[in-house]
Amino acid sequence: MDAYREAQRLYAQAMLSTASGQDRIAELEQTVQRIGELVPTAAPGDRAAVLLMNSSLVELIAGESR
Amino acid sequence: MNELLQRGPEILPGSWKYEWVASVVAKAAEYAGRPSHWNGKLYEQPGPVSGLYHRDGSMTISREHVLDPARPAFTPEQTATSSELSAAAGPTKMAIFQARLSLSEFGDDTVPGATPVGSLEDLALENALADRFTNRYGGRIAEDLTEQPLSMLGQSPSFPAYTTATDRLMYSVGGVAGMGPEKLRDLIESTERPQRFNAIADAALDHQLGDLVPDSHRDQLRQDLTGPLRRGLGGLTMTEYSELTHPGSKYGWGERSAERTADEFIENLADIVDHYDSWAEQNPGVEPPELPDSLREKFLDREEQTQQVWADAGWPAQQPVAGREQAYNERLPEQPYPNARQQEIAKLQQFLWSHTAPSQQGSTTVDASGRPDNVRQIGTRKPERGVE
Repeated sequence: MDAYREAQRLYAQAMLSTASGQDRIAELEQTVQRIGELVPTAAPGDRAAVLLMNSSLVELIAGESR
Repeated sequence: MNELLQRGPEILPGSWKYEWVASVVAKAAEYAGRPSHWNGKLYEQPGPVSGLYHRDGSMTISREHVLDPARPAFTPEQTATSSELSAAAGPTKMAIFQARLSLSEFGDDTVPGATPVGSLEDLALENALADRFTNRYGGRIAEDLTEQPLSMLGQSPSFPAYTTATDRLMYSVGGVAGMGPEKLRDLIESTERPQRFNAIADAALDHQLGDLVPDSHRDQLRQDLTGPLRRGLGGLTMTEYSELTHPGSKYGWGERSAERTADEFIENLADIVDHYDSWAEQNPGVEPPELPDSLREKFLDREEQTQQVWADAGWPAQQPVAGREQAYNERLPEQPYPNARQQEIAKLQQFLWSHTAPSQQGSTTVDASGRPDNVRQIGTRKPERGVE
């Protein structure tokens, strides 16, 4: 599976999580890191989409932290 | 504070980094015809993240992933190599995307009827609008800021299902709201995020019924109309983030989903219009009653029909309609999930239902109003907002 689709899989996994509170934040953080590890292997045309996905996750972390 | 939310060093005015980001934001505002809400504070974004537009109006942006690779294409005295130009396209796209996000207002999502910022439908709509803006104006903004031949083509779509569905809805819903798709898009973009779905409903009601609707009916009618939009766009999360749906096919799902969503919205609107028009014709000058229960049952039937259409198309976005959970569960067959796709869909459905079911959302409004339990109440989400 290429990095773009693997990032989507990881994102889906994070979205599907039933964790809440600090556990939820920890899962989101872990997903951000794992998707981040995929960035160097992503095709150049896919990298922006992958990084924007991570930004969306961090926005969720910000929402959870409110 | 969470490590990922911590800001790196401040980027100060006068530096190339600051002036470039400021110029991208200014261009985004110019093309949008709306001001940015960026407060001028800019920080480096740590980690593998493009950046973030914060509630306080500040922004972070990645030096590693955005600023450094973009710079060769935007340095006047330097001629970038073809590989540098190629490497600058994605970072430029990210900067423009983020600049567009700064044009949106977070607003207050705690008032009744508001869409929580960070909910599935809010993220779907905001990302779709930002994605469309970036695709439409990214090339022109880049051209305005550099004389070097920077091509924005060849970038993978960021949110293909959301964007396609939203585009389609602009045409369909714009028609019944008495405005073209671009005017409706402008209306939505200039409305703060928590009130966007209500703004769509209001535009349609105002165009179709004018002052025939008593103010006291407005909140409930908004819910009758925004329900299809919320479910349709929120449900697309399944498609947008599915590992098993090829990016290309996401366009198709977005299109088909939007078609059903628009049908449900327009049919509900037609019933509402008929109710008020008929009353006004037969009882001129007399304040009309609220919609009868029979009509609300019709809306629920329609919601179920929409689900069935999706199921028949192979994407069973099944959730029990509010108030009909027991009947739904009783007729639900055992699900063996013979393959990974169905298993994933089941998991996504379970997730979506757990986050969108009215029965999962604490609501003092419902109890106070005495409305029947089977009326979907929107804007009464549990205190912990966003996606869990």
